[in-house]
Amino acid sequence: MLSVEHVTKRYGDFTALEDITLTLTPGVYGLLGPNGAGKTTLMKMIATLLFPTKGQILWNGEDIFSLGADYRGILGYLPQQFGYYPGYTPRQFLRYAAALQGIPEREGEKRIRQLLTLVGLEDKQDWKLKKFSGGMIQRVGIACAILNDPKLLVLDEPTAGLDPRERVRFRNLLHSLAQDRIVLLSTHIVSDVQTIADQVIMFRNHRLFCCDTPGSICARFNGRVFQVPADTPLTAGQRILSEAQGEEGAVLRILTENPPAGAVAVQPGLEDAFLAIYGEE
Amino acid sequence: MFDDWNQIPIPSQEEKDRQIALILDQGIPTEETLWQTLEETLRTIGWQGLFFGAADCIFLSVLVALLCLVPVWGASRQTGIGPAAFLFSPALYGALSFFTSWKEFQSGTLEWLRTCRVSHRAVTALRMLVFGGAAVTVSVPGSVLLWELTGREQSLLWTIAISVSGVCLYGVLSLYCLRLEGTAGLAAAPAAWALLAGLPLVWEKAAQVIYHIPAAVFCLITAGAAGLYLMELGRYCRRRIGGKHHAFG
Repeated sequence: MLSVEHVTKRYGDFTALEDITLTLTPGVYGLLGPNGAGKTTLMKMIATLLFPTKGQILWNGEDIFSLGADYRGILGYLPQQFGYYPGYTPRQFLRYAAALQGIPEREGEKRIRQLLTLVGLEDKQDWKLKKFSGGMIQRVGIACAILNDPKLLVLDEPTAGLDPRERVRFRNLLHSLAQDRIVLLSTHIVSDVQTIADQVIMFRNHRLFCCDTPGSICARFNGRVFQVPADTPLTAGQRILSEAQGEEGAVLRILTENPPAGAVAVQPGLEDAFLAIYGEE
Repeated sequence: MFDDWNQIPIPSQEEKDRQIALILDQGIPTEETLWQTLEETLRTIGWQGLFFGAADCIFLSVLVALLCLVPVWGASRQTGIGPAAFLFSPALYGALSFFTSWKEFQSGTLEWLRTCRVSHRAVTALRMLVFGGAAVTVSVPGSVLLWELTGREQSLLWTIAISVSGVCLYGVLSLYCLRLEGTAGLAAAPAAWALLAGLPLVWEKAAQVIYHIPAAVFCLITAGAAGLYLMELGRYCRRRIGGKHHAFG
């Protein structure tokens, strides 16, 4: 169990996160928020790359910074920009990562074979990384992050650069991984969070806004999201969430307590909730 | 009911002390020494892991060190061998440390390296120690070569001593500079060394002072700096930075 207790992070006068308290148990947690909301800061603190200015982060009741190598041994981390050496093959690179994770050579070889198959790179294991596309590099990064079979997996924008097929494959992989471990991921792709995450964590004004299931977050806006033709005149209190192409032309999704005539009530999705929460920021 | 309490064998005081000491040894974690940390690191990652991705950095550093022979040769004709040997002897060590750290920083691998089980600081410290050993080893034949090229103007021992002391002093300086965060820590050591050790090249009086320092003093400086280097390397491995700074793996 990972506990984030009253964590505040300041960079000089700027407060990136203020008094965050969270308890994470096995499952997938999606961090959602606009740029600068503090998602990466929280992830870096959980990955021991940053120290909290105040508060503490505990793994099964023990401070993660005091646990040191023992904590890093159960941690898998994929940074926003996965760094690699282009002159090496994925197999060589993963061997290096396995050594740094303290995995014995024979066990490491077996695990690398499994992971290369899992991320669909078994036929490209001897290609140099410089020949890889962004999506393929991301898959190497994912393999690298789960190499040590971590109990806590922290993924900063893991689906960036993946094509739709790869994203589906990745979502399935995460579901299978999350059976007995904590997976914390951040992404800008709201649909990914909606399909992957058991719980969604949202920040607002650098404070924790909510940590709830996607369904519960969406339910907060039940009966307040409507669809209207794009040329419908809107009045005060009727906020546009998004515009889309419907079967009969362009339509608007609006948030309001007083829908205009002809408005059709729709089931709010996580994207509607996201836009409703952050729309005015 | 058990009533033969007096039959229970009571251990002797010696045995009790031994058992208490054993429990304390196992219960209270002892801090690893630098050598234990480095040995464990090397055993876990091996030589291949230690220098993974560093081949180009090593090639570039050797090239830089060889290129440095040109200004050394030029400077030694102006001010003699001493100031030039002192300034340029850490070139190989400086280049190796700088390029390998810079590559980790630039390639973006640094972030995940810090989250790996094997401490990134221990890996870096071990690599620096190996680089230091290589730089000292190379500086001896380098000094002999320079000594020959400059017509044996000073004693060989003095030439080697000033050269090796330069490597050791730079090593200490670079470790102290690593207390600064990010790229500032990387760039500070070469800049500070160029300013301090370059002074005798441009200021004749400082060069004269160097020539008046006997070889024995340079040997003492070397020994002192090497000791300080190892102490600081140990601190670097164990250092915990609190509060607002970046945490290192």
